[in-house]
Amino acid sequence: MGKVASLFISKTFQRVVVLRGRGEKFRVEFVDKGLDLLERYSTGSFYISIDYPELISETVEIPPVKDEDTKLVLIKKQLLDRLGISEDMFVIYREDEEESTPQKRVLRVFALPKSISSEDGLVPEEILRGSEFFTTCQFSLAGVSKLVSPDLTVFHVFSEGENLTMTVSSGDDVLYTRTLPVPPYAKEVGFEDFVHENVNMTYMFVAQRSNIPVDLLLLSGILADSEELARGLAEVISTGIAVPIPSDIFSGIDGKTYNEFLPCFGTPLLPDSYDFSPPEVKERRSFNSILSRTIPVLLTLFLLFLPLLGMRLYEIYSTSRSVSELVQLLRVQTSGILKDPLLKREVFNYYLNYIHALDSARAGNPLNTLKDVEPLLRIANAKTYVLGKENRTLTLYMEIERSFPRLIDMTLYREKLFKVLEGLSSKGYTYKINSEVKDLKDNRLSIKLSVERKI
Amino acid sequence: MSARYVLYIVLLVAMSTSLFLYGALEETKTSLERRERELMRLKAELSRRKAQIEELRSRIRREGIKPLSEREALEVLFNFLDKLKGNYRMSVMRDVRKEGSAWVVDLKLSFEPKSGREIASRLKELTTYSSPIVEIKGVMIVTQPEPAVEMEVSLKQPFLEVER
Repeated sequence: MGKVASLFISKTFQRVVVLRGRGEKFRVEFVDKGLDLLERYSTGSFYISIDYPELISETVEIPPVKDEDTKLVLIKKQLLDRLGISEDMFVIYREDEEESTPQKRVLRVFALPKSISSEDGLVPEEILRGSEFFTTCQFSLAGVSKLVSPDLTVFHVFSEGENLTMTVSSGDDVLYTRTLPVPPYAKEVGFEDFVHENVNMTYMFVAQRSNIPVDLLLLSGILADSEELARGLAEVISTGIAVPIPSDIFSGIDGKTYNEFLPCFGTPLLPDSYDFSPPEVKERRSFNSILSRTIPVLLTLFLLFLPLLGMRLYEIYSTSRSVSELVQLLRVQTSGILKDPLLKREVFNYYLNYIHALDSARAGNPLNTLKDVEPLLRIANAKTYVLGKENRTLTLYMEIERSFPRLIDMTLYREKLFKVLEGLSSKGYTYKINSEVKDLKDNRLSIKLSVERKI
Repeated sequence: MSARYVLYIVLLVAMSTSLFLYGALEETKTSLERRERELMRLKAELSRRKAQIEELRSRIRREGIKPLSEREALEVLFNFLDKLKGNYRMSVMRDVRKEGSAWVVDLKLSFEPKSGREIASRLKELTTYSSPIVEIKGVMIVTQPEPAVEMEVSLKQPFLEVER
């Protein structure tokens, strides 16, 4: 719930209502009157409505253009042509849908001279730039009228004693407005007569000449207390007469104060089209609005991000600790190893070379062959065995000389021998018969063979 | 400048800093994890090396290998030659010499076995020595008419070279 100050500023007085809440409902925090309120309440969020009787109200016709800047140039030219106004102006407009055609746009234009935001003007430019909404009393009254009856055409008459303001509106559409200062003589001798006369005259003009069917007449400000005025007006006008009272939208305020500060309550209810703020102020405001929406998002993201950052830091802390422990462990283990006398370079090399030489001698031992060729040795019964090693090859040379009782025995022996020799191939051996002599007469067999294997 | 602008800028800066910090921390974490993996690998490697060292130590103990000086190694070699002389007919094929960090001598050994079992036990005994290392280069076994065995061996006794 935001807090907003709604100011009503004139040359002779300043009034403020501080409201809490936005949109549908407001609670009145407090009201205040004085001459320095504009400066006091222009630091936070604030709306400004000024009491400015010289508001220019004109209906103009322009060609149908879409570009906003071009539209404003055309409007200002029309104001120059029709009213001779060459001064720089704050301009707002609403299109009259009924009167507009595809060839022309009929606009109800309201304008204020920019001089009111000069240094000694009603609202200094610096303050105006900080405001959330800048309008005039005439439109603020339309805000209250819409609140009283959004569907009816309301003739709203308001006076704070200095000026008499009349605004005819229907919903958000301001159809007609007139403001005139209350002359000194009227204040002294016949204020109610003055009001009666001017309201009657304006009412007739609106109802008959402008052909605006009025449904309700509202009397507000100091006029809300005048029963005599209401009675007098009831005699001459045909519509109902009412006095605005605080509705459900505004809480915490009594009827009398509500009427006294009435424009302050109407301003927050107006649509953006009644904001006289210059385009750059509206842009800044929309930027601020984006900021207002971005800040919570950024803050939420930031807050959500913090645990992630924390987690990452914790992970780094854990990993760093683990690394330190590992380094320490390795340092201890390495220092233990480095102190080992076995690992002195010359000692280590000595043992390593020794073991290599030992392994090499054992692996290259020709006797290793004997174990592998055991089946051969069992049947060969050779005369000579020569075991040797040459070029990483273990060799076994055998000379067999045997006599047999029968030739068939010799043949069976020979077959068996060759079968065993063939079987050695599974152990990586190859064999070669160097010479073979069969003496069939004496049943003798002489074989010279060699078996070899790569180491 | 309004408080809203200040807050927005502060938040923007804080958010950007946090993002930058997060990125930097991510890099640090990756680098630390890489270091941790490297150290784990080193630890595993160290354990493997320690196991290898223990294996080497155990092998040294099993083989009875002792660190010998050049002089001691020569003594061991000569003692072994004396022992062989008692068991075999021995002739020196190539005299005692130094090859690198070892004393080496080439021999021819022969004997007349009384049985096949004697041949086996003698040959087996020769292969069990580790000091000196007996490298059998060749063996000739004649079974007829009289059994005889002749071997060419090379004896090698390494020694520990002391750096001066």
